[in-house]
Amino acid sequence: MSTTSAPGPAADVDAAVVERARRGDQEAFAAVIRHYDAGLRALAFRLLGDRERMDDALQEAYVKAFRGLPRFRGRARVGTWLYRIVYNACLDELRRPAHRREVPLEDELAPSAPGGDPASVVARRGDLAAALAALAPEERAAVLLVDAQGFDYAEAARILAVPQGTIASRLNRARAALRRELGGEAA
Amino acid sequence: MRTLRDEELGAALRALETPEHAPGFHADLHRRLAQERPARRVDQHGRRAAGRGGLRWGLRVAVAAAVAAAVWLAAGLFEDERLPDVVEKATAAEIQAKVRTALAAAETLTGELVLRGRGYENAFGWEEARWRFALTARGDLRLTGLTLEDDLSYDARRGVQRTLNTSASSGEGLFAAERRGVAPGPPDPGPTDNLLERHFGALVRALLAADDPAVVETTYEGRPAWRLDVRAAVNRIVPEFSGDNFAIWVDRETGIPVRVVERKGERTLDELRIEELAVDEALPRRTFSLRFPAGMEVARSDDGFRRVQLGEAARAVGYAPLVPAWLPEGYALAEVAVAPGPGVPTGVEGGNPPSTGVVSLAYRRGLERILVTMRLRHVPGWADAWSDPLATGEGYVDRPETVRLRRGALSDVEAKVLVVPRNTPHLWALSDDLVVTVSGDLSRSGLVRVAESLRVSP
Repeated sequence: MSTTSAPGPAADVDAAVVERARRGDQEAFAAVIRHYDAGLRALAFRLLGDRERMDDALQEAYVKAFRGLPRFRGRARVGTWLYRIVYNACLDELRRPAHRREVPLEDELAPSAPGGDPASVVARRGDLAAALAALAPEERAAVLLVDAQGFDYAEAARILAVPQGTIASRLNRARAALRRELGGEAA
Repeated sequence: MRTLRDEELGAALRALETPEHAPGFHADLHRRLAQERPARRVDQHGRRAAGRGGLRWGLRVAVAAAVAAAVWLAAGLFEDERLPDVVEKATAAEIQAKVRTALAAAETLTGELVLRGRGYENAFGWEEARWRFALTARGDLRLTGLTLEDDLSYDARRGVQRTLNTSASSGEGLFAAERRGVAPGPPDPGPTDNLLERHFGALVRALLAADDPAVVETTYEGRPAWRLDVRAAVNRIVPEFSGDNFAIWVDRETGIPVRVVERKGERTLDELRIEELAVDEALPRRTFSLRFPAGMEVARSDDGFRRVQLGEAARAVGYAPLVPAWLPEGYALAEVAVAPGPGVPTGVEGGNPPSTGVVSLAYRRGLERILVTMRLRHVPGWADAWSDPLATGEGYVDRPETVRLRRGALSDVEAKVLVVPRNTPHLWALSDDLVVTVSGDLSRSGLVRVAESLRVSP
């Protein structure tokens, strides 16, 4: 384990582009989205478990961001702000009643019992993605943001709207489960 | 707090595969963003009167493109969404969004449709043809020939079409016809708008359906423009009249198509343009009720569709129809038509069993339209052999995508989705008892989402 030598979150998009997007320039907004889309897709897909739900959530999030961008004051990085919107959209998607009773059909990676014992799921599926999907969404988000996407605790805390200590504890739980899949010691 | 990061785990997580967006994601997003823009302007600057008087060039061009798309939409056609790499994808999606925004707001459109080209000359014996047209958000249509003596009106509220044409057999004299009980549209025969659907609609749709548009910066009539070159499937029966590519000129300032040419290789087959355009002109009701000359014999027919309230449909067809629980924002139910049948069979060359117990639901948003239809699957005396009710046919080979629906009344049913330039984007599926279609102004994902939202009408 180390500090921040991993690839960090996407570099900030050009401030001039953000400003144009704030003023309603749709192409500039599209450029902002394209800049962050890969990371946001990865987060949304791992939270939701299939492509269609990922796209649904990202559509809603991007439209909300477009609506809200004029009120964005730059106190946080625009990327952090976008991640927060996407994370909330994913939670909304997870809460949708129509999805609660569904088993993902397309995603061979996602198990169907979120909240189940991660170790048993791993043993059954032998798969890091399955272990990840078995975590609670909040833990999944923490490990994806910090370990996979390179956000620091402070930014992850802003995105998930929790204290930094909560990020640390969620990471501990998530890493312990996922480490079993990697065959190594608990992180 | 110092950040501790598990690099090995992070690398393993980053190595997990993340899917790309589904085809159409960016097109849908740009469309939605375009619809947000007026609201944002209101937020920032207060409400301003739209003021349509004194149209400047740019707006006139925008209206022209809106008309082009509107005509195509009125014909029940729509877009594909597979687009090229990021830059061009955004460009094509932006064009879609601007056109769609205009359509969603318009109540009426009028203008002249001009067609010119070798294909028309060879096939029909004329070089250039003009029609005056008028459309409404309710689905009414008037198409009056200016170079040929033909006229068509369609009153959507009553489902009545009237035509006055030169005799097709002799080329002389006029032939008057009235169709009542006309279906709202595909897969059932709607108003006879072959000209719009087959030609104008196809050309405009080619722009939006492009799966591989090459974009070239150019000029058109002295203004900066993009030219998009789009490949298209060639008709297998009459390849000589069927282009294999379209070239579409788009005004760069407005992002609006201003000229469309259908080509075979480098050879131009047809050109299309719109002139004398106007948006939201007041149109008298009689515009959509063609008056026949006194004393003329009129051939009358009845297609069997009756406009009813949604709550009356079940009694008419003997089952509770399926209705969508989800539609894109702004759509409203505009028509409910039922036809107990037996009626005209659907599919390539009418190869399906006769249509019985048909319910056709038309939803509209401005000049955009979505149609949801259903008919009984099992028809006494006929084999249970169904093919795509909206198949392109006539020499074109369709290659639909198979999708298993995941929720709603059609949960676990296998559906076929077809989104190609020369056909109405559509989905069809067979349930235990029904043949269901969803078609119109929808992307691939929109078609699936509407189909998965279908519920039995209470």
